[in-house]
Amino acid sequence: MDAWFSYRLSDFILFSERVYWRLFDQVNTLAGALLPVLIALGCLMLVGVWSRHRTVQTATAFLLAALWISSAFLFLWHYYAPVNWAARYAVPFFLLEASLIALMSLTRQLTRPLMRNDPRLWLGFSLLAYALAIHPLTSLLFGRTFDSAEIVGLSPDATAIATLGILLITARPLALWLLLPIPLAVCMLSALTLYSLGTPEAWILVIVLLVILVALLTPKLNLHDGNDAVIANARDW
Amino acid sequence: MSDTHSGISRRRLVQQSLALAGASLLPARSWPETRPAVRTRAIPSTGEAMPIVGLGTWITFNVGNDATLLNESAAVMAAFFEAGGRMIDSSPMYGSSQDTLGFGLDTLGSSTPVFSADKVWTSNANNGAGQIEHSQQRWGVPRFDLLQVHNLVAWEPHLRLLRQMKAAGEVRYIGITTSESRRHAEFENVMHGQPLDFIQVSYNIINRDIEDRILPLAMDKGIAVIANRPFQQKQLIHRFEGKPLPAWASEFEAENWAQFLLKYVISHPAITCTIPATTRVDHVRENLACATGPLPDANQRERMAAYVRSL
Ligand SMILES: NC(=O)c1ccc[n+]([C@@H]2O[C@H](COP(=O)([O-])OP(=O)(O)OC[C@H]3O[C@@H](n4cnc5c(N)ncnc54)[C@H](OP(=O)(O)O)[C@@H]3O)[C@@H](O)[C@H]2O)c1
Repeated sequence: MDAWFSYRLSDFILFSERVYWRLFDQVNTLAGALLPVLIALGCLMLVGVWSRHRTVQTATAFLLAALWISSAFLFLWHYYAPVNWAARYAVPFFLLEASLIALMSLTRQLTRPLMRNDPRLWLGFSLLAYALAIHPLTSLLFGRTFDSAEIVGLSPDATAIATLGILLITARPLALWLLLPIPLAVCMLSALTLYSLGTPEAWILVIVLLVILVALLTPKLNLHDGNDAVIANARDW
Repeated sequence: MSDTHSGISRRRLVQQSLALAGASLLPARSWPETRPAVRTRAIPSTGEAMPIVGLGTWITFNVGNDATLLNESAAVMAAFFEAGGRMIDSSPMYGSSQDTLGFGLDTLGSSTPVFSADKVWTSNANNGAGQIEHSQQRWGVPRFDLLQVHNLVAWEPHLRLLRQMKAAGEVRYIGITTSESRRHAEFENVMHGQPLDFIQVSYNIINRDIEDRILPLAMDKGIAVIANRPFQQKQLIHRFEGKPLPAWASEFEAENWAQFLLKYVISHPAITCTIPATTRVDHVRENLACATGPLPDANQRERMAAYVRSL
């Protein structure tokens, strides 16, 4: 295995920046008529995460899980794996994340336990809104067309950012620590890939990671089940 | 692995969709009639003439299922053959490049003059034969002209296998590759101890490590040399573009930096062939044009290296 130590990160980038962005073109074309549906479902999640209604919470979590599965098969397996063999090995992790989201939802670990004035709630909303509404537009910002827009449910990065947002809003401690690693790893690996390709979009993912770090390090944001008492009083939000 | 099937069906799928779209841009033709005479060097072990400029596929041909880019790659291959090129180099390490080559060869018809150079790249000695068979299927060739042990990975068992294959007529030439200077001592040892037709090493006007020992040894032992990374993966083009090309470059008909850099590489007498990679038809033509004009002599080569150092 010592052969592996002789490689640098850039040696693992087997494709060009042009090929990478065209993958999104292709997956968006494949999604075709489903694209507006995906965008609408994303907006539903934005509403869903506000809710304290159990059915809505469960439906939102299952929708998020489904988006991890669609991004795993439509993007990773079908388009990314042919140009990057490592993408194939990411698929099981995407499926694991989807399963854990469903499990955490069923065991009432995704219930929005935060006070309305908790900054983490607002950081979470910002990330989710960014993933749904602004991240797709970055293709235009960086001189490409909307055809290669990164849509939640197709693009792993957009799906991971949306998930990080949703976790900040809804996750209790157990769910947070179980569900954070995979989307964080997606953001880190994508940042490294984009950096190696020499594209400035890498910094978006670095900023997302910093936002999460800030959210986790802010003492006020440490969750304790003691919060439940406060939440009980805040049910009338 | 399931890649064999997915690779082939992917190619067929794309071809079918292109055919349906009426996008038959590259009709099959008889290549020998359309090819110009280019400068060749003899492969020492057989005397077979090899055009001195070939084509690499690392990154440039890894385009996945993208029909547009597959067509562009096939157009690069067509321009390459039209301009007199033969050797195309790939590896199972290069993502979908082998599938792209298979697509291109299918599109261009069976009479292409391709000299297929591929590699075995697996640390598991038992997987070598299966990997080679899989690579042949992806290219769509019955056998490779040249098989190389990629980056010396598990070179002992793989070279044993390649020797057996050569003896059985399943491959015409065998060799080893590296792109890392720190492996050169080990590389030399293999050159000393093993019968090889080819070596493949990195060589360009900035990275001249092999000039001292490896190239003289190759000449001494009668081993053909493929120079990879002639542009150091485009870094040299970026580094020198904007800098003035010396007026005396016209003495050996280098019209731009790419040709200046390439002519430096192929003018070394020990180099049999260099394999610049490209996604562009105009670049492949520019590169092959180096194989038709004059080359710098030893004095001009020194002047070229000194000029580049001074920039
Ligand atoms: N260990 C090994 O076995 C090993 C290691 C390294 C490489 N290799 C082989 O050697 C091949 C060549 O090395 P490489 O691909 O790393 O680098 P390279 O050939 O030095 O550079 C490739 C780059 O040069 C640019 N280029 C080509 N022709 C040009 C021209 N006329 N004008 C301007 N730019 C031009 C291409 O960009 P455009 O697309 O814009 O033309 C491409 O990005 C590889 O593809 C691979 O087959 C083997």
